[in-house]
Amino acid sequence: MGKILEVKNLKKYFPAKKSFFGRAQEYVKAVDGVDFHIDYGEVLGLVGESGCGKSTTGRTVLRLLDPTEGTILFEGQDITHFNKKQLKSVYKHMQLIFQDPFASLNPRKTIGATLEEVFLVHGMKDRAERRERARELLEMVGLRERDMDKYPHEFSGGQRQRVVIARALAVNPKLVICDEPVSALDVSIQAQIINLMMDLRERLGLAYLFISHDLRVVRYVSDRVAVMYLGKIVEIAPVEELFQNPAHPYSKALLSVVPALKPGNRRERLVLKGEVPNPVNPPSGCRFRTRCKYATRKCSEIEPEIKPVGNGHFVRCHLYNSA
Amino acid sequence: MIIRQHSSGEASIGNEWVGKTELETVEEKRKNLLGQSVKKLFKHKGAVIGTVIILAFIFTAIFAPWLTSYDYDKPNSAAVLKAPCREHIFGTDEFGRDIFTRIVYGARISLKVAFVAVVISLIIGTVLGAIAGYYGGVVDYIISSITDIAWAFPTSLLAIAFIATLGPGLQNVIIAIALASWAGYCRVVRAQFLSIKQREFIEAARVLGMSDARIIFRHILPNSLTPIVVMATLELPKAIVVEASLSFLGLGAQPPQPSWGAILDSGKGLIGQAPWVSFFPGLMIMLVVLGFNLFGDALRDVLDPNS
Repeated sequence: MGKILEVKNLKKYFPAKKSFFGRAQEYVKAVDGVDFHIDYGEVLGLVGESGCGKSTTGRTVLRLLDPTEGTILFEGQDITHFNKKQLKSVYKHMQLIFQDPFASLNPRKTIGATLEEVFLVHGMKDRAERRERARELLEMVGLRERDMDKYPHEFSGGQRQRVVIARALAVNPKLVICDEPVSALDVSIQAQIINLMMDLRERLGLAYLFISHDLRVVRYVSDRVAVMYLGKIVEIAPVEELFQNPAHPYSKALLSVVPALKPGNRRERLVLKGEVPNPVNPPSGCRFRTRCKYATRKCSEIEPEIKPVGNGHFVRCHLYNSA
Repeated sequence: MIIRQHSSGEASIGNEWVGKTELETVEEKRKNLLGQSVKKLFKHKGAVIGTVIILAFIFTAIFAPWLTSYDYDKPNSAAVLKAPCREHIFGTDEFGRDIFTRIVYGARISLKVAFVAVVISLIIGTVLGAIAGYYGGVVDYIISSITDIAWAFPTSLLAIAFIATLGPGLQNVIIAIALASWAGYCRVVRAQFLSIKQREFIEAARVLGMSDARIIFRHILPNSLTPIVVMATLELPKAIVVEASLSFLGLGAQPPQPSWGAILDSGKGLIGQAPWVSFFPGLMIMLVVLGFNLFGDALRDVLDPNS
């Protein structure tokens, strides 16, 4: 299977402080050199603390934000500098699901109108046909035809998220960027939405970039997982390999806080000391060294490269350089 | 609010992981938001009084010729400066014209000028505010600077300045009021756009390939209407006052046109011997402005989601 999405050295800086003449002097390096790819039909989980640049990565890949540097290849096409018109054709194959189902639907439009509008924008002229397609979509996500004339405020969070998924699927995408799609929902509803997403993936052959801070959910849905820290991917591996064998000291700490499934199978809980450094001025060398108990002088001088350690596992850490 | 539990097993896919019930909060059917607002509005005392005054004002303006048997512009030397009596309930002016008749026809002028001026300034302000708020950057900087300059001048002063260049007359009064009062709408609309364009459903619209025009007019504007409507309601009485002031100064309605400001002006010198000439147009201006303000304030309270 080929790659549906490939991201190379992606950077997104936000101006943080401006000089008197409006020239930016300092930048928040939200995403600072990120590389990854997603295969057709694959789910890549992207995890990390809040503020590490996960969501910015997702939005930049969609070109909702313009990248500062780097290349985004979608189905082999370089979309990094596509204009609006060109992006419209890309968006037929790449969609977005948001975290907050309360903010992601237009409160003044009925569910039916919201879905029909997508078909209208993409050139479906016949009104009856649009309505029929909207009805099919709602059925696909487990809502009923009579829900079409309701407004978003008449639905619960879980139902709204179903509508958001239906809207994303209206264009027949191959890749869906999911930005914390279930974090705003109750746990019982989370399970339903996740199962719906997995079911749709199987039926429609979707690939997901699944951005989340919830490690249990990521473990359940992903094929591979990338761990992000302060704007960089520090480790990327197949899901079970990562959860059984985390290599990077940050991943180890992150995964140690996931509650064990079997009692008695408890791992030692590693608690990180200190705060996440300011992304305006990340530490020299390895970004994690300020909170890493294995840090050596080398870590503050040379930034580690991301290196393979076998089993499709890649780590950005000097401890594994010899492997 | 009813909280009910219902089985959605047959309708939704993939919910076998956790139980088969979905806890749903079903809000009371509130499809007709507009109807609800109207209901709330009529529980508001001020709104009812305001509505009655506004309706009476509009009714007067429309049916002016049927409300009186006199002409507003024909002098009558037999009835000069008559105090209010049975034939002339508001009295007559120095040419013997019936004040009531002139006020009734004056309502037409007030309503027309205020309404047209508010609509024009609303369009100017909304378009500029939408462009500034949506596109941001240099465009926003330029538009906001112009708005701040326009905002710095009192409306009537700016309107007088425009009249000075355009010349007197009611049509120019409309243009002057419109050009002098769009800045408020511009600011409100810009602020609305700045906050709404951050919302996720706008990002979704962009990712679904919608054009800027569609996003502005179909997604952002309908969600920013509330403050615009309230503002327009409160701008109407201001426009009425500015029109009356300009006519009072002789810059607006020209004789024998019966603008309330002009009638007030004609009675100015006779205030000792015939106070009714100035009193009734003044009272009308006050009543109508009060009516619009009561209604506008109530509308703001009702439409404010925080109330």
